[in-house]
Amino acid sequence: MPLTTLVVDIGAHTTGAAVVVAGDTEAGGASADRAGSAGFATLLRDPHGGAARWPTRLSFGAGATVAVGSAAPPVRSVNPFALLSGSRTALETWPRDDPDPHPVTAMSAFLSCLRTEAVRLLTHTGPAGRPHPVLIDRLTVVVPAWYPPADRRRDLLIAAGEAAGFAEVELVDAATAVVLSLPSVGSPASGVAEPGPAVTAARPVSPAPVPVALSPVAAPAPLAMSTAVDSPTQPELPDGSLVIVCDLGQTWSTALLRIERDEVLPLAHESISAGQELDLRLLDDLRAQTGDWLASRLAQPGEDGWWARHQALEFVRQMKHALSQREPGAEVSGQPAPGAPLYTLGRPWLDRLAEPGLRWLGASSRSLVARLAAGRAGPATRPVDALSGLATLADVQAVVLAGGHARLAVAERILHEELGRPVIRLDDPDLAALWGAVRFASAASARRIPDDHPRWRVQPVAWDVPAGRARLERWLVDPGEPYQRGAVLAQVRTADERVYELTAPDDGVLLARPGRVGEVVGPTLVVRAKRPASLLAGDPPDLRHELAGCGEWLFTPDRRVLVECAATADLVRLWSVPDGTLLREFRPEFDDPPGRASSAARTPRRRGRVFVHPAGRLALVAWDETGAFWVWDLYSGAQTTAFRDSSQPTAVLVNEREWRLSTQGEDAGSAGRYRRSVATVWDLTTGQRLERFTDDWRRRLAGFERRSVSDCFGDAALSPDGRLRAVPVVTKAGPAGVSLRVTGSDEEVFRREHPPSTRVRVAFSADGQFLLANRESGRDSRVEVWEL
Amino acid sequence: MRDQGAASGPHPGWAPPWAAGSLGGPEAGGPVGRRPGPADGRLPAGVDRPTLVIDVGPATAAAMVVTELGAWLVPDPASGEGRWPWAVHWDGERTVAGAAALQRAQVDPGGYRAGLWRALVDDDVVVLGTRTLRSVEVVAEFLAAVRSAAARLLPSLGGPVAPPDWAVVTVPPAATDALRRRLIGAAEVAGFTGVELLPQAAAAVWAPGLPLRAGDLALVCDVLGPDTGPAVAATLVRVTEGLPEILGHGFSADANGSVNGPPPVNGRSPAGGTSPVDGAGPGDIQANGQDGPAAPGGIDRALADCRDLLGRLGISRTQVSWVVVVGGGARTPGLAARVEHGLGIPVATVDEPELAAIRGAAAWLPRSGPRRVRARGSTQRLVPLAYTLPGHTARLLRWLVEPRQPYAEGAAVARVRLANGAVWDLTVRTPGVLDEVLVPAGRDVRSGEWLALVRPA
Repeated sequence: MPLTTLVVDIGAHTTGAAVVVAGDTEAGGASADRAGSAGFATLLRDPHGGAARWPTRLSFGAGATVAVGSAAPPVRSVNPFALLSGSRTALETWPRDDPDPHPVTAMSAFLSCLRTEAVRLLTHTGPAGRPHPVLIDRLTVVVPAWYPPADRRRDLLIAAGEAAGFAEVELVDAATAVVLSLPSVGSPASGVAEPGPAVTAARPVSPAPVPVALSPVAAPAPLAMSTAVDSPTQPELPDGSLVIVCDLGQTWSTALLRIERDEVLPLAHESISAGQELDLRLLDDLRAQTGDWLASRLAQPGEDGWWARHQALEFVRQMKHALSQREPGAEVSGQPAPGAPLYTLGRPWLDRLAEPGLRWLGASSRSLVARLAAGRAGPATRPVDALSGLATLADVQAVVLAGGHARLAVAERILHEELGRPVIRLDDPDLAALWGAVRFASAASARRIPDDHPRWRVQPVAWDVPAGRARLERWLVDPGEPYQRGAVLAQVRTADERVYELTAPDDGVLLARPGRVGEVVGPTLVVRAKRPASLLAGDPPDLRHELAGCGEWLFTPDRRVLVECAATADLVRLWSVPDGTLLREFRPEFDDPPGRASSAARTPRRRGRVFVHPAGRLALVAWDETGAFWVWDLYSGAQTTAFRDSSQPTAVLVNEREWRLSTQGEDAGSAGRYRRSVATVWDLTTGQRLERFTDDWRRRLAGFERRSVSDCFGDAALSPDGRLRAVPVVTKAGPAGVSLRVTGSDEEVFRREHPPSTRVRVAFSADGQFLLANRESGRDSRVEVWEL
Repeated sequence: MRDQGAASGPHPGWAPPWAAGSLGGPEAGGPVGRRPGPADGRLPAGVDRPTLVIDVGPATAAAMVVTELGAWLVPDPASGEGRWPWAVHWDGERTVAGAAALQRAQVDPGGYRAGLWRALVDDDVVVLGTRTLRSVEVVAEFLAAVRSAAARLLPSLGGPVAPPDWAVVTVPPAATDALRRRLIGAAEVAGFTGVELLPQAAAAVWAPGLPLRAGDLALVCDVLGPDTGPAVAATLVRVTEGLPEILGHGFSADANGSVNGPPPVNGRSPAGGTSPVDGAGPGDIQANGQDGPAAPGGIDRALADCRDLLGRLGISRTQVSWVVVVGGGARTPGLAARVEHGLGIPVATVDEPELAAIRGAAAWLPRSGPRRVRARGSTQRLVPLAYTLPGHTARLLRWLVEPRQPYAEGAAVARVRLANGAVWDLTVRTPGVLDEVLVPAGRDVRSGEWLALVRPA
């Protein structure tokens, strides 16, 4: 049976729903008759009104019957969305004697009714004349962007979905869904190499289900978009793009998102109840124009007054929508009821009422980008990357308008004025989030996470806890500490006060231990341990990754980050050792430092290296053949100093401890056989010249080195636990590999050979889990990372 | 009456079968063969290492060292008695415990403190001359002295020179958690690396010579002496092949019924005082080396409380096989007959009732199984299943494969919901068998956390 998902976008006033039937690879089930092996999606219209969105209301009738949408009378109904937020407004006409319905109860009843309608539409008669029921056991719910991940309302929605009988309940936030509805966004959540079955969504034109059989593409068809303001073509949204989504429903929100490896990553959001306020201002306007006619009706007690207000609000909303797409000076008129005074609403007045909220959205959007640049946006679990640190409004590829108020023509203009970025208004903004969620749901089978590669030397050591459960009494071995076969690693105390010692099955090193002393553990206690190094000989480690570059490599003092510096100093990259991901890329901009201006017709040749500031910060020290020097802080990207030496540098040395630089060159005043070299010492913090030596300078420059002395690459390396030693394999032709030996016995347990190179350096990562080998040749410089 | 021949040499309790003939082990006596134990004739598992078994009473304590070869009482070196008075003395340089402390208290009462058990119960501060100690510290000094005595005894018994580092301490069944933790803490400070607690009634059931069988219900009456304010601690246990099951307990004190109900460890259970003349002072040591006989006037009340205990537990007298009377007060003439008549349940006794608990503990220990648990061995390598989760955390919704179930390459083995609400399947790169689930469904998980152990195919 194909995977069938009900997709619901529950709004404060209206709800959109669709059903997605995934492709059936076995060509069976309901969809096979209609769409072959491809999936399809269809809009679930309100069966009473035929509208694309259902009123978000629910009423309980006699005999436990439930009516939703247009079938639920506005009076004596509840709004499950409002209940979810703890609002009492939905219960104004709820019978006083009846207990308030629980949000989960109301929402699950609402969802059940939607599913019933979906099943009714999808159930069809098979060849034998028997109906083929459809099982819809998955639910995807669009949640407002202002429901943070740990919000209780999310839990209530999931609980409601599960109470309604859905086996799987997924949530997708509205801003993400809106972005997913764009044609230029790749297949959602397909960062893993397992594309989902073909599913396409389209906008049906009739209430009847019109499944659309699709060509086998991974993503549903996108929504149509109107032309973006100031942009003749739709902006491309490549990987890494920043997008702002302004959702103009009853609550107006702005969200900043990044499209990252086909994943849409929410970074920050802000919201305001401007939509409701706009409706209330229009209601005031209606009251002002109709005088006593409306005021007397609104003043009626009980349900009559509520009903009058409800109808008046519906009326002004209709007027608003009718006017929003008209030309700037247009007016619309209408009567809220037969015999009522005529109400006229003009575009200028509507635009004026909407403008404060839209201006707020613009300012708020700018604030979101600023927060991102300041490192105060984005998931807390991810490090701030270079893109975030440099983000400006110019990096925002598009501003997308969604929600009912996106139809306000003034919205495009004001947000373009405020942000200066292309503004996209979707043709059917009310359903944008729904169709994005359909696309999200259709990619459910692609949301697969492969298991991590098991680390070679890391193995579990598991004990069956006596009596099944016991209190952890104490650990007798600390993490990182080696132990021998039979050693007691921990003690546990059972409920009957017996104490048991958990012993090691083999030699090893304890890496991590679960649970704290005093905690109850069981039925199994598992610790992470490192396998004995001697096993490497028969089971070599895996090459985790290999990084290639053209410059020199530095391994940072914390032994966690690799720094690649191009010989010409025009590019520095920082790489994460465990996963080989690029952490930061820095391209310096070279300006003329103070002093004698450069008059060279060609660009002078530049050199540079990375050094470590006494405070531990990485710095790029670059120079050119004319004697210009620059220093950049690699973390902030800021140039910290620049200076110019009078001589052409022949050798540049840095004293990292004193943060000084010496440059050697020829004394400008010497000539012929009397040429003499001079060394000038510069302060790398201030850029001031400190000393100049014309003779015997080599003796005076103790502590100055060509390369960083903080570099953790070396000619030999000892693992953090002291058990392994890495050295280059040296042949007559030069260094030609790396060898791993057991400390003490010098037994070789691993060897990796390669063609002779000019230099091989080795290192271990801080946790000892990786062996790094850097080899340099005339063509390139590589770092191999072996997982131990 | 002094300790009866138990001050040295193997006690008539457990000894390994190969030594049973010479040491008088359980197999040598008729009734012993009916006691719980390996019915199939299998040998007791023995002990991992020399272990000191300690029985704590209100006024005295006893100790036995248990090795692979047998069990021996550790007598108080100063008195030669089987039970040590709960007393210490500090002379400014070193601490002595037991009868030696009583002796020194005659000339230097300032450095003396008796009633250490009571001090531990109340978690009192103890002053020894110029030293002010927490109760845990002073009890630790007492236990260290006992441990040292055991260490001196061990080589002569064929054991190691080193002092025993494992202790099994019998405690009243009603001991509070706080008291248990203090007792464990004191023993650890005394140098024991592993400290086990054993309910005294459960230990007493294991005392050699009792006619109990697995499945019997036994009412253990620990009759304390007059220095403890005549009292009976009654505990109903179900005898099993292993550690007896405690079904309920009660406590009855003095003939006037002024204390009835609160367990001795929590209430005003009497035990020594703060001076040599208060409680179990130097002149108060009982002739029989234990806590003295029970007052006859309190027996009726104690019997009534025993009946109440059975009533509370819904146990009729006919269901109880034996009343086991232990403790120093059990030597009271005619007591057994009165109990049997009063309760209508046969009474079982042992020769040295004041040592029943410690001898039972020493007999139980070798049969209680090894205390060393070796990690699971396997010829096939176990591999942890871990994932790098988008957003770092997720809730594990369900496992899609069962333990011991094989799976194919690329199979989805579990399902998670990320923090943003999206549901993802967790898949495997290589085929294998799910060995064990480490994280049950419904729990939040983190990137890199080991969720299960698998065996790659």
